[in-house]
Amino acid sequence: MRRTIIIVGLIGLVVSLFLVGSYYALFRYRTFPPAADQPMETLDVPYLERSVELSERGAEDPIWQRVPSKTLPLAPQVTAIPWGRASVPEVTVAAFHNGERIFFRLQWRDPTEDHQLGRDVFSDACAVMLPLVEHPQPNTIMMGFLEGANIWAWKAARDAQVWGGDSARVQSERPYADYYYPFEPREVFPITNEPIPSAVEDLVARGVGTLTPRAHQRVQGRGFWKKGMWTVILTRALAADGAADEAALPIGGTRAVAFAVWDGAKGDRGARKSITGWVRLRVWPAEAPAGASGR
Amino acid sequence: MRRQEALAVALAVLATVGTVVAALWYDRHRDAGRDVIELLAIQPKNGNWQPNEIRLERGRPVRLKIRNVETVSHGFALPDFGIGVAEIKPGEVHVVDFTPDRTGVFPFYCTVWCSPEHMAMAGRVIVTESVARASSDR
Amino acid sequence: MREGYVLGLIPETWRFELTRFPWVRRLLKSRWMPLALILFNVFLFTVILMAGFFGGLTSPGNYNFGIMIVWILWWVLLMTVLVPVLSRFWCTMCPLPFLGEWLQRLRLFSVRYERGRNPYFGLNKRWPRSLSNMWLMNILFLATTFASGFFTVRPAATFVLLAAIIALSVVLSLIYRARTFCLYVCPVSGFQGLYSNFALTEVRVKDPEICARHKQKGCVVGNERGYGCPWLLLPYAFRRNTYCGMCFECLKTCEYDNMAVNLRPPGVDLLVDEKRGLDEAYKALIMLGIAIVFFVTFQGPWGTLKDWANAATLSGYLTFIGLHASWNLLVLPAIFLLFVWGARRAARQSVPLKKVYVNFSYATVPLGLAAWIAFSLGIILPNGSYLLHVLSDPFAWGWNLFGTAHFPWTPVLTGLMPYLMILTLLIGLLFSIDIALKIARQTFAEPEAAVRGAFPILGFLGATTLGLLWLFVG
Repeated sequence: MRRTIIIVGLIGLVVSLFLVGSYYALFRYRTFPPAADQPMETLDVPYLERSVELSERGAEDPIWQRVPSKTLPLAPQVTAIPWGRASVPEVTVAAFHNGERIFFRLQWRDPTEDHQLGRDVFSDACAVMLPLVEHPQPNTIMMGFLEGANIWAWKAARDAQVWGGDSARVQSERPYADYYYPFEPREVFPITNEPIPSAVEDLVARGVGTLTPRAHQRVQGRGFWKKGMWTVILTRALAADGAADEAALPIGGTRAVAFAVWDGAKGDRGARKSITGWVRLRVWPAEAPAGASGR
Repeated sequence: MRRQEALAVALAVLATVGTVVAALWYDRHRDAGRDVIELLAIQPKNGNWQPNEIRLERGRPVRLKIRNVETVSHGFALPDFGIGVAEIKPGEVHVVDFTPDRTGVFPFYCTVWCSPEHMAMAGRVIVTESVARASSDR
Repeated sequence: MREGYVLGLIPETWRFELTRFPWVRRLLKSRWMPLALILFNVFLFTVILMAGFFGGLTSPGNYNFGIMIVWILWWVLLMTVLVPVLSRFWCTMCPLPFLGEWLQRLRLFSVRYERGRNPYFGLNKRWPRSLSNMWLMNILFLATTFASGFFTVRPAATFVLLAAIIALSVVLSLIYRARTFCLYVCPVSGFQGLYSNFALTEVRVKDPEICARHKQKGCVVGNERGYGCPWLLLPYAFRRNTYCGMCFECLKTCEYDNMAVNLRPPGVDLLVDEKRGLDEAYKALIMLGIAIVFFVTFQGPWGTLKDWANAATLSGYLTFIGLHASWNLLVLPAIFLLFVWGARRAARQSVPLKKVYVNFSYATVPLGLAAWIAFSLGIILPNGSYLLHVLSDPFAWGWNLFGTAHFPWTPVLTGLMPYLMILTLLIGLLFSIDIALKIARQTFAEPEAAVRGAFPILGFLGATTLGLLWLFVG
């Protein structure tokens, strides 16, 4: 009798140990509330029967007050080496079109104006990326663009060369380290002296390390640094030139766009930059009241 | 016979209880003298980095155990301290030891395109003056 | 093919006694054997259980000690080496019934023996006669495979499975006699038993004459040197490996050293017409069927099926269970029945259909085993390198015990894998044909009828092999 009680007790013990153990193994692992879905930001590109010139006045043109702007958080690029360093926290973007041209204005805080290149000296810069497919996979930023992306890259150093000013002189005296030969009085390779048509390079890329200038450079732009703030305008004809490597900007449609910013003073260059995620770019048709979209 | 029976029982206890105790002891011993923070890499849709905010004291060594509990790869980057783990495969744990040498708020990120919300997979390291130092400064 | 020869090459009666070497016999007669092996595995399974316990539900499997050791290492070893070569040697060292047996005997090392007294603590009940077969194991093994999609990816699932087996073994050991759990319940016992009939080793009597004259059967009732057969068998009358757990107690209890461990040619037990039954026939077909399902699901190109098995959706999972169960319990046995019916008609002999069915089912064993070996190659070669990782960091706590925690994933010989798989299958087919021809002769008395009757079965074996080859290569 006593043995039976012991045995029944043992069986009860084993079964309850099993149940408790299984409960802990199955349910002790932590669960987390799913974060709310973050909807993709939309940047509206209203139709305005206006144009802005590539000048300081253009950058401060009151028309920009009528264009809806978006302040987008920037994250350091940490997918490809070298990683960014969280140097610029956010960029404010606005855009409009007049049926013929599209204008982007990018603004971000930067306490120093860096438009020189040299050994360990880097230029401030920004870029607009337009993938060559309308709705790219999210993982295509930096990972390989699959179908490729059209990139408009503005650089302060390039800007100084194109638009002149004090900085242009300084630039010619201190060429980029890669081309600097201390025993050569002058550059002998004409390639480095090629005239630069625009402060904005019109590029195409299909992944990390494949950045290539397009045959037709169709993007213009100019940047102004004032009181710790860069304002850069980029513009291109709305209609694409028909080449496969140029992003189309269909009126009335949406497409993806992403932005990047470099702070030269903090060592940003190349892949070391701050980037946004994909933003939905909505190009309004001419018929739509611009005011409606602007509000 | 008796001694061998005792030996067998001792070995059985060692193999079971001994193993569990030894494993738990070893794990504690490894981290001795360090603050240990277990950081779980989770895509934003499933909850994002856990914890999302890591509070540290300046000058106090810390060990981050970054565990990927998902079936996609993640990575870890704390750019301000030059710390990065390029890829943490599903189920893997990476141990990162460092001592924050300045105060401030420093973001950390995932470095691998893990999900459509990858860009949002970020958290913050908040480094403050240590309590002891702050009081001695006063 | 020559009568009485395996593949026409080796006499079926050929034996090489391993215990003829004194050190082997001494080793097997020591009470540390298999206790030492069991204790080592108790340690190993403690780590496995811990890894499963702490692993949670979401951690992926490739970095979990429990999943890697159980489902990659153990399963593959079981299918490729332990069962085909060493028979039930896993049962020799299995740590799962360790606790239950300890409680029964209240001893680990020594023998609790008093003449005429039951040495066991526990209720010592008899297992119901109606369950003294493989049916329960068939169902339990099939049911276990329903959750196979979880075991390999969710550490906690492996923990629950192993803990359930241990708990059940303890409970049944306290209620029923000896190794009742191992004999009739353990999900992995059934196929080991059946497939062990193919194995290259056996425990057998040396000289039946000695046993016939010997009245005090220590091998059955036990003595001060060891326990009576814990697997409730009559060691002096062993003819098949099926239920012999290779615990080596009979080598210890035999007063005349009349028990032996032999090497033998493969597959000879499949020809032994003793205790054959529909339960074992179903076991053979279920094992073949599960191998096919696993191939299609986990190594095939159909992602949907894998999602179903992994329970991505409830309806998908139920579909998987439904298809899996009906394929193994109805469709495949029915297809086999069709061929068996054809065999009986072709032979034009009045042998009961059930007998023909049961007999020929043993011919599928080598092919089924080959399919499992091929499946195992598809597991171990691509995934084996993860083992180095889990050895260094068994609980995924960031350890690096042996410096291999960050060893990269390195598939081995995967280029050769399809050829190895094909070769394995063809060897399995060869043995299956050999067995089928011999069973045909056993079943249909007339030699010509046997040849006629064998053809449909060869057709089944050939078609199955072609189907499997298509799965590997296609």
